[in-house]
Amino acid sequence: MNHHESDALHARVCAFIDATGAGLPAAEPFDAIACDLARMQARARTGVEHLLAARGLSPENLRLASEIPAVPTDVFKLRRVACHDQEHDEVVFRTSGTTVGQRGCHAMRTARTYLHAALTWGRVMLFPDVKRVHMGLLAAPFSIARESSLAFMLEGFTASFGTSASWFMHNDELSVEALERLIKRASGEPIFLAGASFAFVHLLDGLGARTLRLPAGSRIMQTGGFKGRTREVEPEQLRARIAATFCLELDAVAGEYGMTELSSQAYEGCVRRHLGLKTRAAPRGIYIAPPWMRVRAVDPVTLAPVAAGEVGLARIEDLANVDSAVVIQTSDRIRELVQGFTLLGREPTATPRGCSIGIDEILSAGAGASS
Amino acid sequence: MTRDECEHRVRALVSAARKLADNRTAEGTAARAMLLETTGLSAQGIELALCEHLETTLSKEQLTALLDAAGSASRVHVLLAANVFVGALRALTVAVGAALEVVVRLSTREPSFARCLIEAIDDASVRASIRIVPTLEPAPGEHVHLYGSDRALAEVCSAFHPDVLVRLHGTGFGLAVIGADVDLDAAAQALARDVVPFDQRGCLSPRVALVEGDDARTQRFGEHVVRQLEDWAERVPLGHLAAEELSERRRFRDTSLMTGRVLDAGESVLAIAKESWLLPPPGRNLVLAVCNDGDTCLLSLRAVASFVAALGIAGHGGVLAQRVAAIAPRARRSVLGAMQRPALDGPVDRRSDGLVRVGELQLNSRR
Repeated sequence: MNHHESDALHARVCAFIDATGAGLPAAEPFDAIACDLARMQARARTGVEHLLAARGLSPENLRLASEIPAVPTDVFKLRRVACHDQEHDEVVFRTSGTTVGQRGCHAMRTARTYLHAALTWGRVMLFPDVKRVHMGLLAAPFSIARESSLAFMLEGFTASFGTSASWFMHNDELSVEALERLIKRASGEPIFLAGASFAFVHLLDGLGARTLRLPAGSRIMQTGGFKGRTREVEPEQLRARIAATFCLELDAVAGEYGMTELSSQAYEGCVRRHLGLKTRAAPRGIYIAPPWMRVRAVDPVTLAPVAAGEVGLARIEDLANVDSAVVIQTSDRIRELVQGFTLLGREPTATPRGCSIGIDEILSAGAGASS
Repeated sequence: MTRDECEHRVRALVSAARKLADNRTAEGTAARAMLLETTGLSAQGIELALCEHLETTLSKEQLTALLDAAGSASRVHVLLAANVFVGALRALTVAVGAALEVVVRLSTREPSFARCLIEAIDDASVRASIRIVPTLEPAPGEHVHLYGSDRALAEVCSAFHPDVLVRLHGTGFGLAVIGADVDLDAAAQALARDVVPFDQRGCLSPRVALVEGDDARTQRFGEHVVRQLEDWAERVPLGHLAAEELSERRRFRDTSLMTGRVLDAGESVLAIAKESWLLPPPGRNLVLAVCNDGDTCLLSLRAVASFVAALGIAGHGGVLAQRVAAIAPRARRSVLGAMQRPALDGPVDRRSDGLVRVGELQLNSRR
């Protein structure tokens, strides 16, 4: 693989992030960068070249990001999706669960662009009003959870936005005492709590009927679903429980939409709305992607864009996925809106009818912690 | 119930099945019309199921084995599944062989066949002993035979008293083994014979074929399978696929394009895979896994071995077949080409632990 070409694309993507993250126009269009990424990924034989060939497309003729075939997220569980050789991996994030004996992975030659994207959009959507906050993370630190993209991102948050950082996961147990110590240490300054949704459920179960009042200006980020867990909690029910337990407004509890197969994240616009900001703000339930990430609803069978406001599966164009797959296809049902998109859960599996097994049942066999 | 009574009851059901299989009888005609509405299969698919895959003969040995497996109870409750409508016959024969009183909850998706079968029973007392209900409400100690997905069965069981005894027939799929010594064309014919019935929706339906040999051999085998499936599609067209099934097929195809090679056989997608594969959705789609390194091939299989309900072996069963059988020891074994014609000798799913108290149940133990 030509690392110079990759380095140049990383630089172009970072420049795009810098400009658009600050609300300024970028020097070059999204589509131009996306198509150059697709061309490099095809030349590097990540597998996308087969999708292009099957559709009768030539990488050289790509002009719009919408023309690039989407890589199904399942592929990350079955083969390496990377432009570079394994020896050049700086970091490898892994998905949860197992598929036919193999966990999915997203290998990065450099995590620089990933981090840049995460911090830029995190600043905009979660910390637009403060320089630094006390951080409470319902997760193990990245030094321990080295395959977790969530841990990596949160570690980046603590370095850039944290006054202090407390990690509450020790030996797979969540520590309520550590959270209490954080609140005391913060002495009335805002706190940012973040973690996977199932971790919050675990914490709330541990607290029982107790409340722990977080200081004014605090905010919470929760992410992910409950695949493979023994319990599922309806999202709005969880948000209400979190808000009530920590004595916060509902709008101070925001969801994050991200996945191991992506480098960028979308957030609910409610924290910005809660802070009285007009732009990039939205009611709860509406996710706003950064300018370098496009989330489109497509027909599950044809993969063509659905009509405005209709439900489809999320096709995601992520410029920050420089060395892997610039476009991925998920099985997440969404509805595109003017302000952003809403999440409607996973595509229902066709099977099982009766005892015949479905793809997702077998994929989720042995599912464990999500990252 | 005496043994003779048990045998009589089972034979009464099989006799009723013969009426439905015969397209010249009023019962057979009526069943065909109803099944066309409920199963999603093509008319030819329904004809194939009734004529070739409905058990209308029963030897003395099979009857003995069935009754031995059925056990004995005062009352048996049965929850039927939708995917393989002829399965209702086996489910009901096991139930009537075990108990004088049978309570049935029909599949909501496909309720017709079982109803037709019961109505076609000549013996009024046997017919009257099978009661159709909207909900199963077994009392502690009573037997319940459940057919469906693991998830559906777990949900149903959660409503039962802990002392209810259940026999589960849950989630599964079929696996074919193509040995090194096998004629590829003959094996392809046999595989297609097992794939086509019920549009591959059954837990015995093969969805993966392990092909012993190198990549080139698997490719050649794939080309034979393509021809067979295309030929079958002309005689027995694929039935209706729901939007979710079409979406899964698209997902399977795109994933397979990136992880291996794809052969198209009309509406069917065949993926040739070496190390990792995505289980194909029903609808006559297949993974043909290259097995020239038994360890790698079997590593992929181990993760899903507990879901293998049926094993179809082409040829005389070489080393690969033996190793696969060792990984899925409880899968029902047969010659390839006969996977969808299991003898009427008891429950088709041999993975079951038999009757288990609901209170001790761990439906996720396979995971």
